[in-house]
Amino acid sequence: MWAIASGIEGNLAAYEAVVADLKKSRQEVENFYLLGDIIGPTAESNRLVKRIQQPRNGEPIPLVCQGWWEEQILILHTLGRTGEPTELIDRYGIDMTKTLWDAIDSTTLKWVQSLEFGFAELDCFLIHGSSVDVSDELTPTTDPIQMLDKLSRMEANQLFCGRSGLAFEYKIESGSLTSQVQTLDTLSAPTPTVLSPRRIVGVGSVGRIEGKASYTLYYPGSNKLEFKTVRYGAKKGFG
Amino acid sequence: MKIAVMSCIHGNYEALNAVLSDIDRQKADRIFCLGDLVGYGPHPNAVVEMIRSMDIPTVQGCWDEDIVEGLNACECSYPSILAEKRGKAAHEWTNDQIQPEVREYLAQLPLSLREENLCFVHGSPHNQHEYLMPEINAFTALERVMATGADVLFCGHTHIPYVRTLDAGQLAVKVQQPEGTSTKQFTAPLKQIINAGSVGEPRHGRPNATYVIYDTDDKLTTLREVEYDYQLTCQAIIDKGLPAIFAWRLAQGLEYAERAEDPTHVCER
Amino acid sequence: MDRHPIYLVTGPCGSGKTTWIHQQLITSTEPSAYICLGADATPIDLTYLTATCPHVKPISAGASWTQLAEIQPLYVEVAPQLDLASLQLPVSIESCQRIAIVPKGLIESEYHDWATQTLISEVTEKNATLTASPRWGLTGEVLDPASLNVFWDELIQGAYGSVARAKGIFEIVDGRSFYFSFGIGYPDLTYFELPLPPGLTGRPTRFSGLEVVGDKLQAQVIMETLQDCGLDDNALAYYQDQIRSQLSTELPAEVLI
Repeated sequence: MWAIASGIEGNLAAYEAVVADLKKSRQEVENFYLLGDIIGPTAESNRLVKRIQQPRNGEPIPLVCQGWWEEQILILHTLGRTGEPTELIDRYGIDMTKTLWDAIDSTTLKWVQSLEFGFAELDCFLIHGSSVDVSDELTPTTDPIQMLDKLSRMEANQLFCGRSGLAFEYKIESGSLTSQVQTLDTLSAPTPTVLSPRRIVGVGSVGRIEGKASYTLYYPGSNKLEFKTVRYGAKKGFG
Repeated sequence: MKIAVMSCIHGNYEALNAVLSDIDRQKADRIFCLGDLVGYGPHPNAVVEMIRSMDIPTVQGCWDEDIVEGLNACECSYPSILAEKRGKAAHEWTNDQIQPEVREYLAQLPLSLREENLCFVHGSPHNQHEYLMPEINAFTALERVMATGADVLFCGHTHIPYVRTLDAGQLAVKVQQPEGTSTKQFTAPLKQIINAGSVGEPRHGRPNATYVIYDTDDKLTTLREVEYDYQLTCQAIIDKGLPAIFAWRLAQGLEYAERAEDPTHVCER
Repeated sequence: MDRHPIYLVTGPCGSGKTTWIHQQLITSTEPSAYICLGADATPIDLTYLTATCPHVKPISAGASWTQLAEIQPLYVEVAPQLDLASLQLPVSIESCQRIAIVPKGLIESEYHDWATQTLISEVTEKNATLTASPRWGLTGEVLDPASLNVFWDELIQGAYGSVARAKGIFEIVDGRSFYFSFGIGYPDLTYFELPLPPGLTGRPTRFSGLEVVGDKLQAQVIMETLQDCGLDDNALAYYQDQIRSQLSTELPAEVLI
């Protein structure tokens, strides 16, 4: 069984709730993926990162990849793939550059720099956004041909992502297309391409909604998914 | 209406002249150019001046971008050290030759052009460096056309002309969320990718220039191959101090320096 | 003790002397010796023969090879520049088997008069030459395989002059050594890995180089192009380090070089 989560955004209590929920499960967690947005613009992110780096007895060791917030802090420190924090400013305003800068300490920054971009395991690819861009937000309403393209780029049948923060299974059940190519010297016969089923899974968000953490379980043996929601904090008992 | 689309002239003035004469004979109504006006060939300024003087709508190619930005193309585009060295030598020579107004012209070229249901790019809609080879996955090809919103996508960059017709596309999708399930059927109308080949640096095994003519009325495409006196270009390559191997390779119908084989390579610069 | 045969093998450059000697050696498992006489001695042939025929002992021209001839067959490749009539041998020439490899179309020659056996090769007369062929020493150079392939294709297709025969030994980035051979009239282009230990610690010291028989060869351009195919020190160090790391995770420790 794999546990796949994303979007903790520095919310330590939410992370603890997910880890506690996993402990209650009778099944061993073979892989525990955290698909980016571990940090957020809060100093609690530093404590969260330390917590992630030091799993307790019986807890699975997280496999962590970079997400959007991680990319933003790298850009601010001129360590990112683009030069300017344009997207950060567009979404949250210029003040956010200072908030994020002040929140994340150098130890956390160094940790962020060491993170993978994504993971490939079996026929799955796990990443925060997509292989094209960490900002790529795949949602239940994304065009099917776009979804298919994201899968094709990684030659994967399944893509697990977290950018949208939503929990969903987007299954391309079947597809077909006919292609014909004419060159200077040849004209091919029309050739059909038939698609086998494949899917994109939004794994939810652990820390985005206060009091309610969502994550995903995947069973490689049966190829089944399970979307999990854990309530935590003072409002827990009120559902 | 007949439109002529050409690409990848690469400073080969002799080839360009021959193509323009052929376009005249074919009585095309409009001409479009998909970039890479300069790079490797011996007459970059003359080529640009010709395109400008005829007011041919042109998109910026990867070589044009490199000359403007002062970059040396992405290293991962070259599959060998030898090709990379030859590419760099060509870049340095071209950079040295380009006149200021030519550089300014290349800098203001758009990345894409749109004309009704036709879209014009150099490499792909996503990137000037992406090769849309005729054998890429059909759904990937479909995505590239659909990303433009057009029915026909004209591209260059690969230097081998082709027409790819994508038809009867359909996808069945089921979306499950905690709040419910929905299904949808997606169908795509007929789409085409038309690659204009290369005027000045062929890769199809013959030294002739290639371009395409598209008829917007009957939606038919003609792939044109035009002979020209390539020995004049070969001689100019040598006279102007470009690597002599370029002259030999042009005469064989080979590209000056090999390119990456990865069809959907996207530069990470 | 029976004397083992001494084979004297001569013929124009590019006619196929080494090829014939190799054919004899590869089909035999008995220890043999090989020596090349003449200023034309090419390490390419020596390296190629000894790497592919481990039972063959190479002998330098100055060594006392007559004693070796007492105990094993000896193949003596005689460079075409040497005057056959005044060939200095420590044994009587009548005691040697004298093989001439001659190209097609060469009906009469000094080779025909001299030899006890004349073999017609597949090479035509115009593609063989009596003059020394240019050669380029590449010892210490490590080439990028993709570049080498491009260069070799250009070379044999005439980009650097008309080529009748070309042979080379090249070191590539993963530490392997390759033998390349091309000849008009020869069977298809040959290239294969020489059975030598991988060289992954700095620049190799074993021989590599190129020899070409042809017309209007652009020697300087060939040399410059070969240099352009080579890795600089930094790139070489980087790739060798990568390969050594990869090998160390794949192989048991005792197999590491």
